[in-house]
Amino acid sequence: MATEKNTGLVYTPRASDQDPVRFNRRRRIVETTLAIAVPIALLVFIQVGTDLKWWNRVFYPSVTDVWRELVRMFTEKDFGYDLWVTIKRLLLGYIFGSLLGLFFGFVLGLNRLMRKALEPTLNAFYTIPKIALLAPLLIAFGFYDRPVVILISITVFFFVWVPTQADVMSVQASFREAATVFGVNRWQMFRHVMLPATLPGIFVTLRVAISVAILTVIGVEFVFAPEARGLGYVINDARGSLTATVAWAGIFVASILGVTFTWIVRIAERLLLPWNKEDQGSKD
Amino acid sequence: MSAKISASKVMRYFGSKDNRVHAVGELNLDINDGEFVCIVGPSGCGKSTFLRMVADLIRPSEGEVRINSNKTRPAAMVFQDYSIYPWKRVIDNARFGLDIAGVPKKEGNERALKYLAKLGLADRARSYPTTLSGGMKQRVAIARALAVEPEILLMDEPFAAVDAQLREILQEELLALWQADRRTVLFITHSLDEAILLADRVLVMSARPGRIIADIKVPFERPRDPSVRSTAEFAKLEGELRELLRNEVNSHLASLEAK
Repeated sequence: MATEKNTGLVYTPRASDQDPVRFNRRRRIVETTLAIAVPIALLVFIQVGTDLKWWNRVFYPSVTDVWRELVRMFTEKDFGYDLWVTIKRLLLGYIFGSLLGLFFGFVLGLNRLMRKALEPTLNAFYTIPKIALLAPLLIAFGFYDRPVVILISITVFFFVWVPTQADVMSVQASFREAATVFGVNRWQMFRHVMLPATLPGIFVTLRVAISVAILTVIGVEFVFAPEARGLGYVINDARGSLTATVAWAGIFVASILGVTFTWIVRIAERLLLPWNKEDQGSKD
Repeated sequence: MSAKISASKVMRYFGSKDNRVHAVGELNLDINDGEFVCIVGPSGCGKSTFLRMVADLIRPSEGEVRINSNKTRPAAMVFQDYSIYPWKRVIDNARFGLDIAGVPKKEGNERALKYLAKLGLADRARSYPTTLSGGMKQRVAIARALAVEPEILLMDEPFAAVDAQLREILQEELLALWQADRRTVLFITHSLDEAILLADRVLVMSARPGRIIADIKVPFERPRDPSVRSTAEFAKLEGELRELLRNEVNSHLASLEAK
């Protein structure tokens, strides 16, 4: 019997097409498992590598070494206070800097005259390495928290101002025009159109600004930490005492700090932008 | 009849002095109160520019556009790219113009819902626009414009991005809505069929700089329904308009080649 061989292209349903609900559930399980498994695998690798002496334990301690050090720091060295002052500096600087950045982003994005008047000056300040301002700020405000907070604010300000202004200026013209035809005033244009249109971009900016703020606070504390306390001070101090475990423990805490704050901003984003959920997607 | 919209000696240029584009003009025309006027013409002929002048989104370079109204914002506009707000639910989008006009929220909701219902969207009132199809989005935009019950309705190729079947349905809906409650409508389209079906008058514009080269009264009586499409008169009128536009585009292309 002659079998007719099917030539050409044949498209049949895949697993994802046959039962999309089940497929998506399975995929979610796999994805969540991976998200947890990868960092655990990394920690296990470090632990095993150190124990088997693949590298020098003094420079690259094991996970349990770092963990024991961390517990010791909290119980014996009052590390909680270092963490607290750093979070305080970080949050104050981040909040002031972000608010100022958003304000200037909107004012300069919405008002051409303001943009022309202020942008060249701000751009000139933009190129200054902010850490260089620490010396004059310390001289001006004394050796306390305030100059540190101001420096973080300035750094965060530029990271927020520039993209916010760009977001404001790139709002779809017909969004604005539709409102104009209805006769909105300036406040209504801001409240109903410009602010919600730019919020998704603003949240991306605010997330990036968190890591900038952490980078700055740690960096500043390397150079100068009020009361000789703070996460950055502790990490930098480990250099003098040649205790790599302390440095690694501090770095670990810094990364937890970043993850936590990013997560908080993400939650705020989800609550404030209900229209922006991924799972809503286009059904067109 | 009084002219609702009148343009006299309107010119519009774009660009700087030494690189100036003459986009529109000279335009002289009157549109009567309650009249449904369609504007057809080649791409880039300044149809939208004229519409935006009526909406006061741009001003003429010379001449004047006069609107006979006591309101400061007598027009509502439907844009080609929908321009409904993704951050507002369908009902809030439809109510937007009423919110701005200071209508109390309860009354605003009722009015917005009335027009959403007329356009078959009442059950989607609580949805966000991202979950809607293109045709549904455009109906929300139409509901938003109709909800303020504007003296003048400006529509800039509102059905251009909608598929052919849906387009016919939307045309019928618009026709029925307008015939129930006559307002002045200025409607831009590339579709001659659409223009003849909807309009009292079809204005044909030339290639840039846009001028009115024909002002054709559509002879079909009101109320009108889509069955007029099958009449011989309809086909004849469509043929005439097509010829006019073809000649215009050809002579424009020839003049470009000559340069």
